[in-house]
Formats: sequence, structure tokens, C-alpha cells
Amino acid sequence: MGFLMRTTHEFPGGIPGRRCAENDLHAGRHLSPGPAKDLAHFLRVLPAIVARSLCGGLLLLSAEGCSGLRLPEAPRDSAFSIRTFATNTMRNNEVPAIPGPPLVLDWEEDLTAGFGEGAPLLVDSVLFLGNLRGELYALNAGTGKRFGWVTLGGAIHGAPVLVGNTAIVPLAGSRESLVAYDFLEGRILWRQELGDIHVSPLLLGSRVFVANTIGVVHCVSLDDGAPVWKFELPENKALKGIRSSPAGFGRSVFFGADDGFLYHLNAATGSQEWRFDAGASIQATPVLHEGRVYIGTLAGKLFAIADSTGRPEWSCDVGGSIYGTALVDSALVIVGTTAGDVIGLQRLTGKIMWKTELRAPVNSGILGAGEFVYAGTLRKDLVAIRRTTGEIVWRGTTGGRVKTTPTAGLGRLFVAGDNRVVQAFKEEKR
Amino acid sequence: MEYGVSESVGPDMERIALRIFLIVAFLALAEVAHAQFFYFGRNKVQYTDFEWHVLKTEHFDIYYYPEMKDLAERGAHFAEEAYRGLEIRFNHSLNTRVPLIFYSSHLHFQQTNTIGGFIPEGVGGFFEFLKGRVVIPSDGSTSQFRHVIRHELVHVFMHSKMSRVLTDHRKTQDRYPPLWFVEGLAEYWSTDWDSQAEMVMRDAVLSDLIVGLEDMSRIYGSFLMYKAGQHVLTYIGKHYGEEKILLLMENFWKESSFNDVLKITIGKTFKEFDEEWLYSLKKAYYPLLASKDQPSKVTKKVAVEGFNTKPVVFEHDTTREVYFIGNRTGYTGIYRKLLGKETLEDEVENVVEGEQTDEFEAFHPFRSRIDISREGRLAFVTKSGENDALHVYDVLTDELVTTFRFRDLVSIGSTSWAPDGKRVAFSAINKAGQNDLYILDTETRALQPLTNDYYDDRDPAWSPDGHRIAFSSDRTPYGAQGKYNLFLFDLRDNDIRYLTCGPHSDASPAWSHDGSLLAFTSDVDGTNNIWVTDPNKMFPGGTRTMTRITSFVTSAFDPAWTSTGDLVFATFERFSFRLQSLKDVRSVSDTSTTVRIMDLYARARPWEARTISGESEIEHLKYRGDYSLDIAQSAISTDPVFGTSGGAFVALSDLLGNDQYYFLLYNTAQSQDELLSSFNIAISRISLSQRTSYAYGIYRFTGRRYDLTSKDEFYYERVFGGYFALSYPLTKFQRVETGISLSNSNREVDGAIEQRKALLLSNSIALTHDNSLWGPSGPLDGSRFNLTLAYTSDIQYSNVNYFSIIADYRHYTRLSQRSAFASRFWIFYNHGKESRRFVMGGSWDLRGFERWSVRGEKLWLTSHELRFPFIDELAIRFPVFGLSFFSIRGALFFDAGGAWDRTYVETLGSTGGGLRMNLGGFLVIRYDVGKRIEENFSRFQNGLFHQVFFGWDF
Repeated sequence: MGFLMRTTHEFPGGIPGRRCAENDLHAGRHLSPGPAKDLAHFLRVLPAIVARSLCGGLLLLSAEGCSGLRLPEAPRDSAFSIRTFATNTMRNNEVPAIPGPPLVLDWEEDLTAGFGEGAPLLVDSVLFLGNLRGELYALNAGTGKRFGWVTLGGAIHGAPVLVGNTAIVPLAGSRESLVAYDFLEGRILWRQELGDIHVSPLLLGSRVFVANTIGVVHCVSLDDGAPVWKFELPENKALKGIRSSPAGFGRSVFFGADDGFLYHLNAATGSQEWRFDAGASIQATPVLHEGRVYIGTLAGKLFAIADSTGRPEWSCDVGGSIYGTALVDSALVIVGTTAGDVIGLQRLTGKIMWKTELRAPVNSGILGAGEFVYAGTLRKDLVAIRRTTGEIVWRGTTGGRVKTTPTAGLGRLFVAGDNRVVQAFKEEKR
Repeated sequence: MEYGVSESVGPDMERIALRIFLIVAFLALAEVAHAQFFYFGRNKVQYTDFEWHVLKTEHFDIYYYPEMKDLAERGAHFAEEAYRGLEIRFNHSLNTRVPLIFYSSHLHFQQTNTIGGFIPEGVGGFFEFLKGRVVIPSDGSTSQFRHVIRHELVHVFMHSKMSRVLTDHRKTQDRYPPLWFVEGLAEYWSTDWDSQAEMVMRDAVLSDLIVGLEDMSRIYGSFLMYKAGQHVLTYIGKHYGEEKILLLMENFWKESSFNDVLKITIGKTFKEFDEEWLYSLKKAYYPLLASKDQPSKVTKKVAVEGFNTKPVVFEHDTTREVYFIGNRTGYTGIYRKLLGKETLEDEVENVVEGEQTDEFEAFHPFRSRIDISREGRLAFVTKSGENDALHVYDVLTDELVTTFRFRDLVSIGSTSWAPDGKRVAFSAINKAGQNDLYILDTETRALQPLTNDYYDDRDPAWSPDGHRIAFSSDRTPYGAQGKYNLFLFDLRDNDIRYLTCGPHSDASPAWSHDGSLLAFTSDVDGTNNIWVTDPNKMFPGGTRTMTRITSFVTSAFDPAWTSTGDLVFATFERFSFRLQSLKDVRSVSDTSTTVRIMDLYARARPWEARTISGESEIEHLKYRGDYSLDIAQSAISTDPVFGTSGGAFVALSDLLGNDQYYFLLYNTAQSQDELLSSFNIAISRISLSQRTSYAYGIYRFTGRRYDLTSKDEFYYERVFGGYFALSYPLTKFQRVETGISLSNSNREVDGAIEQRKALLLSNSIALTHDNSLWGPSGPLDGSRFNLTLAYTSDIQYSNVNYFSIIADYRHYTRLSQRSAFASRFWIFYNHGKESRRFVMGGSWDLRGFERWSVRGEKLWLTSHELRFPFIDELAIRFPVFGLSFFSIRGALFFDAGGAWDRTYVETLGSTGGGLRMNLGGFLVIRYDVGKRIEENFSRFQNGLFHQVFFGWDF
């Protein structure tokens, strides 16, 4: 059974990886029996032998690792860290360039349930991802091997937010819908019942902002989850929900809602600063960039709204519903639609500069990395598009429909498909 | 309902192998002819030899036959177009290619083997879960074809989406949304709210037939449920937001009941929603009665029982009769009634009985108008064999004059006589799926096509002057949206001219006797009502007027004139089709406020059909068989007598369902050393692609048995062999079956010294007839019989040698709509060496006696039963829930019979009454109470017997 016990892995710049039974295994090694000298000696070492056998057996039986998420040490922040959905609180999903495309599959791991709209998070060399079974996973970003997982509730739709060693995890389908989990100590710090949450939490300072599916925005304290304020969508007899993750900076929080409005709230008090009628349900996350809020609707309209006044500066009919987060850079706003297009619009005017037909609905947000942008489709495509021209430079195939926004770091592109598998792609070596 | 399974192979075999031998074992094994098992049923006749091809598009594999290639390519375009739209609506893509099977007519569609049962006239297509097949016929209408394709693809997407949602959340796939939601969504996302939907909902609300979501089970599966579901979703989309529709599916994993899913999605339970929705329906529809009427309130009743459509009036001497298609007896046929006096409903007379013979196999009550010439020749259409046939019936002599069949015309629509009574115009669908107009000269039998294109031309009506034929067609600019206008075909110059024009549907033109007016139906103001126009007058500027005659809140169809200017027509009310009449239409038609102007010059070109060719890459291939697994099932059983057995069953078939394979493997070993010798295996193939179905197979069975039909003994038997069986349907109602089997049997009887060996050769031939009409618990009309002759002999050891005769005749005499008197006569006769016994006794035959307690090599039975409705609805309310029971039927019966081997012993009998209740449409629970007649019919038993069991009436 001894060979099953080898578990230590080393990563460049990373923490030693481990399987969850390593402590037991270390204990086993210390007590490694060697040849039994006599019966008494054998009887003394028998418990260790049994313990090793049991661990080996458990390891053998539990091919997926054990249930429990506890990292041996805190992941270190670096230039690659992505601790919140779409990289930052303004939700502009821009990361440093990664090598490639073209890309090839580096590893893949089956996480046994589907994924929501939130993106994987990357800190140090640990990839964090929640699934629709309410399980939060930590994987080795270099190999895909699991460090562990923990079941926190019904389903994790949005991406958690990572603060130090704590993951603030949104949940749906269970009574407690916001959970703070310390992945260093492996314990829940606090829980709150805030209604089903499908969005990714926003962290501004020591405040966490979430919104639920019956139209209520909650602000809670990061330290203990204590409610600070809540905001309800006005006149909400039709029980309109909020599935657009809040974005924000400073004292401002922005989000869209199923009632068709884009809201701007005061982060400190929860009072409404303004709201803009976009005319149709909003599920995409707003993106904040240089004084504007960029938001798309299910009616296929993309708006640029002045963040201070709520007045529209331009709008453009993009021909298909917008579910995913747009990407905004200095020149362009790039958005995917369910009509199967990725469209680059001039940021200042909304004029369409290029339109790339993927012939498959684009639900995921757009990820920007260097000169390329990445998007996934419902027909299991993953594409890299040159952001200045819209030219498709690489098209890969994932195993499942892509609804989750991709993430990149450590030289890899990470994407989750609805075949329950998370995949990592890296540059194809020629 | 059990089929022929041999008692000699024991109940454990029966459990596992029942499906394999469902059809073929009875045919192949003479010894399985048993009184308890039903060998009746009608036939799905494979008249047509389809040469299947496959058209591969981006997402679909489309199965079609060469005659309908153009239609298939149009369907492919609609399918891809629907795919793109549904991908967005569902926010979901399909992982697999979708097999679409197209038929160019409903008659071809009825021959499909993709599902086992019969397909009624009203079924427009289906999606089946086993292989994910979508099967769709065309009815000549391109817009309807498109609608059905979209409707079925909504089902495909929903099925995939729901499965995905549950899988994503690691929930079991043991739940599905309620049918009203499934069908409502399919309608909501495939078609607009049209006049037919409006008609159904108005009628339901104003007739107090509408139910809420809590009570949708009461209208389960009905067209009202489809439309109510569509309306519910329209309402939710409008008042709660379109995004809620998709959310209802995406929230489906959170709750186990759809009531709770609705609650968390829109904040309302079924009950709360019903209060709001039903109230909104009242607000919408009740005010209509201020300006419109229910048909029965303002017109005279002609015929209301059952459904009644397609009236035509015949006047001769001083009598005036209306002929129409109806189904008041349960069988659809042609009926007539005198007009002009107050006659009773009972004075409706059945002129042509349908659905009981091959000649008039089925009517098309919603599609084919009938017409009658001045000489009294009634022209009507029925399915007759492979295609439709056009019949001419002399109503004065009450005789069928002649029948016309057309090799290249599959389905025939409405008919219309020329004034000379020698020619008849009709619409028909050819093998390509085109619905065009034709003229038949009934004397020379010459057939002349008038149109030949993909436009759907219907309802021809020959003008009294003989020069023009009015008809309804989608050859208008509005045809692409499914609208139909009226046209005139001028026989003098073969020109087609507009008669009406606009974004609405006009149908069923009918000329007044003097030709000055044309009555027709139009949904121009929301639902179908009767309008008239003067086809001879056109105003300057190319306009024509149409004048309203009826203002019904529901609808009217198929107007027919009398010579005095009255109209007889069909109306829709209380969810049934009735015939009503209106006197002196011209006085109504003069009212100036009912006139609309039709601008016939402001029209664009007719729409053009788009096909998949040129749009994207496609591939045409010949179909060579595409096999996949249907079922793989394992089972284990144990009992104290026969021990434990376990095995597996696998069924696979080709995509079209024409070729089926069944594999059965199980083991009955009771100890390790028996393992190899105790394997049981059976392999069968069934071919349904031709008119003659055949099956063959091999088998090896071994194990311990208990034989009720032989000497009531336990034994161990090893048998292996093979069989071949044929079934040839003479008509839908009659078939001939024959089979042969050869099996080597080695039997060791408990307590016997020697083994019994035999090489058994069995031959059988059977003739079966069944045209019975079924009620909730069993047949109510028609008859059925089976005559089987069989011979089994041991060709090696001469240990077995007997012949069998089975005669089973059942007749059902209709007493009223829901009552009948049923009679049954059995003779089961086995004679020879080791001839088997038949068994009877129990709730299915000789009531009052224990099941299978009466046995003999010869057996006879007669049963007579009065069947009647007892309780239509029984509701019991408990504090926290309620139970409802429907259609509890009553019976009074008398049975008599006897069984013997060599010498007749005694006659047994019973008499009494019973109750039956249908559970869910597939199971009937029955209770009988009565007295046995014992001691050779000389005395009644003391007390009463009570029997509770399952099963249909004989």
C-alpha cells in the first residue's frame, strides 16, 4: 500500500500541493514498521499498519479526493491573482497576456456538477471554482489536481470573492445563501440567509454587496456578515430578480435587474442615486470604465451610461441578447451576443468597428489578455479573437457548452463547460 | 393486457420475456393459444414501400423519400431556422444531431413504425424520447408544416434543457414539468395567438369549461389544455416578464413540485395564480357578449350530439335534407336529417357507417367537405386502403354508386360537383406533399389537374353557371404567415383571380343557388364568422365588399345554402362542433354597417418557398439503417418455489422502427455446478417495413417449471429451437397470421422415472378480425373474432401429437351513446397425445370461480354482459387533500361454460353485477359480485362471491 501514499507536489512559485490525507500519511511514514522483529513489535506497529491500510483504502476508494477544503498555507498574491469575478470590482475582465494562441489542452478535471455564470478565480497557483452542487473546489492550477472541496449549500452560480484566506461564497437553493469560508483553517466563519443569490459578490472595503433573485440588494459586513443595509427593487409585484453581478468603486455600486433598470446605489447607505430604464431585462454585469457604465440587455441593446448622472451617452442594437460581461479598453467595447456574434464597438461613440460571427450563442463574458480576447460559446467553442480587428486567430473545442466566463493566468486559459469539466489550455509548442 | 406466452415455460420466464414474445411467441408456438390472452387488435398496415433517404444539415438528419424531396428541403430550412431561434430562447444548444422524419401526408404518417400505436387524425406530429426522434407529416400547408416543426423542436430543446438543468445540479432525472406547461410552451414559442386559439379560449371561458392550473388534470391532453397552457405563458410573459418563462425551467431543480417552482419564480402558487388569471379571462371575454353571441342563442339547432361538420343541403320534391359528417355513435360517418320542421335529435339517420370496414376506413371530418349534386349524388372522401378514395353515393336509392381511387393522389380534401352533375372538383395531396385542385370526369374517369405548385389550394366550390371554381389558398402575400384568401379559377381562360385579399384567413366558399352571393368564413375580426360577397361585382379601384352575416363569439365553419337563401353551418360551442341554421341570410346581408372593403390591387406578389439548398452545406444520402439501443434492462427475481434467477434484456431497433432485435439472457442456476447448463437465451428479430411483417428467432430455455396446462405438475425442462412467424394484414381490421416452430424438448417430471423427450414441430394459422369501438373499460360497439388452427407433433419420438382449434367471437351491440350489450362465445379444442389443457376461471372469463381453476383439453364459454355508465364523477374531500374518480362503469353479466378432457362433466356458470374504473387510461380495476351456478346448472351457490382484479372488459 505504500506507493499510494506519495503525495507531495512542487510548483514553481507555489505552495506544496497535497492530498487531504497527507497528515495521516506523514504519520504513517514515521511509524513505518519495517520487518517485524517479533510478535510484540508487530503488535505495537499493527495499528499503524492498519491506519496506513485504511488510508490507502480510502484513497483508493475515494478517487476524487476527500471532502474538505483546507490549504496548508495561505496563497500568496501576485500579478496573476484574480480574487473576484471579472478580475476587479469594476468588472473589466482584463488580465496580463498569456502565451499563445494557438492553445492546446493542458489538463482537465471533472468537478461532478455543472457551473454557473461566475468565473474561476486564481490566487497563487490555486484555482478556485464553485459548481452548481454548492461545492467550492480548489485545484492546482498547473496540474488540475484537487486540493479539496467543501459543500457549502445548494448551488454556486456566481464567483466567490477571495479576501485573504477567506472565500465569500454566494449560494442558491439553500437556506443560507452567503457563506464566509476560511480555506486555511477549513471552517465556516459566518453564514447569512439572504435569499437565493445567482450573482458574484462585490467587495468594496469591508463591505460585501450581493443581490438575490427576488430583487433585494444586501450589504453586509465582511467581518461577520452582519447586515448593514438592504435595497429592494421598487414596486416589485412581479418578483423581478437581480442576476446581474454588482460592480462598483469607492462609494458607488451599479447593477442591472430583471425589471429592465440599471441602478446606481450609494455604497454607504444603500440609497438610490439614479436608475436608468434600459427597456429590457438585464442579466449581464455592468462594466465601469472612465466615468461610464457599459451594460447590455436581453433585448440586444448595449448602452454607455454616464456613471454620475445616469444619462445614456450612446446605445447600439447588437442583434442578440447580451448575457455576459463586456470587455472595455481604451478604444473598444467588446461584447458577445446570443446571435452568435462577438462585436467590437468604438468605446466613445458605440459605432460598430468589427463583428465576428461565431454562429453559436455567446453567453460567457469576454476575457481580454494582451492583444487577444477570448470567448466561449454554447456550441462548445473557445475562440481567440484579435481585439483590434475581430479576426479569429484560434478556435478550440471544449467538452461542454461554455456559459462561465473564462479566466487566465500562470500561462494558461481556464474555462469551465457544462459537461462538468474545467479545462486549462496553454500555448501550443511547435 | 397479456399476449401469448406459453404457460409451459413458467411464470419466471413470463416476467422476463414478456416483451419479446409480445407479438411473435403466440404466432410461433401453437401451445400458447390461451383463452386469457388477447390476440385481437387492429392492424397498422404498411401499404407503402418507402425508399428512405437522409438529408444531413448542420443540426439535423432528415429522413424523407424521394417523391417529397422538395418538401424535405423546405422542411430542412424551417428546422434550421427554428434551431437558431430556439437556441436563443432556451439559452441552450443541443449536444446531438436531431433525427427528423418527414412524411408528405397524414396517411403516410399513420404508417410510421417509430411508435407502436395508431396515430389519430388530429395528431400533427410528435417527439419521442427513446431515440429523440421527431416525426412530422405535412398536410399540404407550408405554414402549418413550419408550425409543427417548430412546435416539436421546442419539445426537443425543452427535453435537453431540463435534463441539463437537473444534471448540472446533480439531481435525478425523475421529474418533468406538467403537460400544460410542456405543450403550452411548444405552442407559445412556435406560433402566434391565432383565431383558433381565440375561439377555444372564448368558448371555454363563456361556457364555464375553463380550469386553472390547479385543475389542469381535468382537461389533460385536450386541445383546450394546449391553448390554456399557451395563454398562461402569454399572460406570465406579459405581466411578469418574458424572462420568467426561461426561469421556470432554470429553477426547476430547486423544488420537487411545479407549484413550488412557480411560487419561487413569480411569487404565486397555482391557486394564487389561478385567481388572478381566471379573473383576467373573465374581464377579457365577458364583455364580448355585449356585441357578439354564442351561436346556439341566435341560430336554430340542427344537430348537436357528438361532433358534426361539413354540412350540405339536398332538396328534392318537397323535402329538404342536410347531410353531414358526424360521430354521434362513436364511429365517424355520414348522417342526414330533415330540415324545415322541428325534428328531434333522434331523427338523425346514419347513411354511411365509417371506421368499421376497409372501404370506409376513416373519414376526415375537419378536412374534407362533402357535396351533393342536384340529382342526389353525394360525393365524399374516406381513407380506403393505402390512399383516400372518392365515393359517389346515391341518396335517393341509398346505394353506393362508385368509388374512385387515384394512384398518385394520397389524401383527398373537399369535393364540389359541377352543375352538370358529371364532373367533380376536389383538392388532393400527391406524394410530393403538394395540395392542388383537380377535376374528375365521373363518366370518363379522366383526371385534370387545375393547379400544380407548392401553394395549398383547398375547398373548391363550383359556381352554378359552371364557369368558375372558387377556392381558398395561401397563394397570397400573406400566405407565408399562414393566411388564406379566396380565389376564382376561371375555367374559360384558366386564370386565377383574387376574390378576397388581406392579412386574415378566408375559407369554405359556398355559392348561393343563383350564383349571386358567395358565402365563406373569415377570421378578419378575430374569430371565424360567416361573410358573403358578390363575386360578380367589383367596385371601381379594384375593391370588393364583404358583408358580415354572423357575429358569433366563438366560430362558424362550412356554410351551406338552401334554395331559399338559408344557411346551414357548423359552429363551435361548449367544445363541440354543432350544426346550426340561419334563415334568410339576404335580409342580414343588406345591413350597411357590416360591410368591409377589400382592396384587391394593393397586393404584392405571393410568397415564395425557401429551401435549405444554397443556404448551407447539406448532404443527401440513401438510408441504410441506423441502429441504436432502445432498452437495456436487468432483473433479478427470487421466490421460494423456483429459487432465484437473474438476467438482462436488450432491445435495439433502427431509427425508423422497421427492424427490431431483442436479446434475452438469464440464468436459473440454483448452485454453482448448474451455472453453465442453466443459461437461458432468446434472440428475435421483427421486421415491420413491408406489408407482411415477419419475425424469427432462436431460443434455449432451461429451468424448473410448473405446468398448469398439462398435468398440474412440477418438472425440469430443457428446450431449444427456433421459430418463424408471418403476419399479413388484409385490411386495418383483419389479418392472417401463421407460424412454425421447431423445438427440442427434454422434460424430467418430478417423481417420474423416465425423461420425456420430444422434437416438436408446431404449425399454426389464424384469422383475426377486430373493428371494435372502445369505451373507458372495454369495447362498446363492433365485433371481433379469432379463428386459430394449429398442429403440434413430436417428429422424432412421437411423444406429442395434437391439434388445436380456437374460435373466439365477441359482438357488441350499441344501446346508447355509452351503453352496450356484449356477447362472447369461445370454443377451445385440443385433441391428441400430450395435448395441453386450457384454463379459465376468474374475473376475465368465468366469473365467480377461482382464477384458472377450470381446466380441460376442451373448453367452451359464453358470456353476456350489459355495460352502462354508473358514476361519472365522484369527489371525496379530506382535510388536507382530495380524491376524484371518473367514469365508474357498471355491468350486469351472465357466464356459462365447461371444460373437459375426455368426458364432459358439468356446465358451470355465474351471474351478477360489477363496477369498473379506468385508472390513467391504461389499467382498469374491476369488482364483480354475484352467485355461481353450480352442480351442472342446477343450483346457485350459498351467499355471494366477490372478485377484485385488474383487466379490461372482454
